[in-house]
Amino acid sequence: MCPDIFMESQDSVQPNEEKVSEVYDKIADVLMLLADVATGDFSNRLDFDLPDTHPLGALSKGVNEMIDSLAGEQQRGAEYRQELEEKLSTIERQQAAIRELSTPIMEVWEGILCLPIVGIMDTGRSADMTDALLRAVVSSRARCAIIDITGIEVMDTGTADHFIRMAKAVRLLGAECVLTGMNPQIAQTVVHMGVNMEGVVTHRSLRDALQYMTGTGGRRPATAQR
Amino acid sequence: MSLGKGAPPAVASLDRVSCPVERDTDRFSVQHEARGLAERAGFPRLAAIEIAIVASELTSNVLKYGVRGSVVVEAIDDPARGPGVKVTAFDEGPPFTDFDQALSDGSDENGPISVSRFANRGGIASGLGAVRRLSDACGWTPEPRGKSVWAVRWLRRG
Repeated sequence: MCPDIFMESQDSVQPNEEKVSEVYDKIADVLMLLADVATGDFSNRLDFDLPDTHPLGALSKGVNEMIDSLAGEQQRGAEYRQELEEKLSTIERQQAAIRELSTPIMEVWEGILCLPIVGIMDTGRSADMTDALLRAVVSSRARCAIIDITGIEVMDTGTADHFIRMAKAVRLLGAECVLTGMNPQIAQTVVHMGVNMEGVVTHRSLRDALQYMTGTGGRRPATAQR
Repeated sequence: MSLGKGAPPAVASLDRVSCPVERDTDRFSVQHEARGLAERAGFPRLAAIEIAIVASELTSNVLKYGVRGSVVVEAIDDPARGPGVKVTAFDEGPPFTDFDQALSDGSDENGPISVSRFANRGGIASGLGAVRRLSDACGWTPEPRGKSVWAVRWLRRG
């Protein structure tokens, strides 16, 4: 591009050495400015003081306009980015809040804890729940922990694994751990997907489990088999 | 039941959802989308839940072995088999060395998983086993950047 402009400028300007060196200087200015732009610095503009009819005057005007528009875009991009970052941090804060709200552990009877599970069991939430449940088992000297999964609709192998691990950890503390509230769909899908939940004791409902644990009746527990 | 390396059945896709997979919680959005699509495609509740589990297991595997990717759930219609749902999980991981081995419970493609590795990897190593049991055909295909694992479940199983 530069040689073209140089040629054009030769047509319109008297070709003498001084003019030529001036044109070279101006092109060098343009290149310097473009180098700034390339590094993300949009603060400088060309100031040639030439009429628009002069090829370099038109060039400088065009370059300045381009930098204005790039600077505008950059500004808008930064604003969007900041907005997005704010939204992401809101989501993170809300997730943390949901996690805290969603691990209520109740002592439903003397020495019997209940952890109702609603919604999703991802790795983070499962770790938080296990942690809270184990602490509660120790601090309340519980002999039994009931995990109620009435609120769970889909049990994949990952979720099943979280329950198996939770139950194992509670048993290591010397307390019993039972699952209640398994709905018919989950029972069927667990069998269909072929997950081995051997060792996980289940009661049909929270009420059954509670009656059994307090010795006031209730059905005998079942141990899920393959 | 067809298994192993190879392209899924080439049939027209009717309804389609695509979910990016980057973190563990994406499993649940995939479950939700897959279940909704299966119900729209006429699957009864239990079958729709099982399709959601298939999609969920493939999503977990994208994160465990394939770094990141996406899961596509499609309603399909085959002239011979009738309506069905196809789940395809795209990931950026290496190809399978032994897909049959990976389908076995307690194993990945390199064979049985040791007790010490179980403790760290999470899960029960039955994800693909569950996919195999809950679908009518499954397999994998190399892709330009990684691979895809697919599973099909027909409305009329057989």
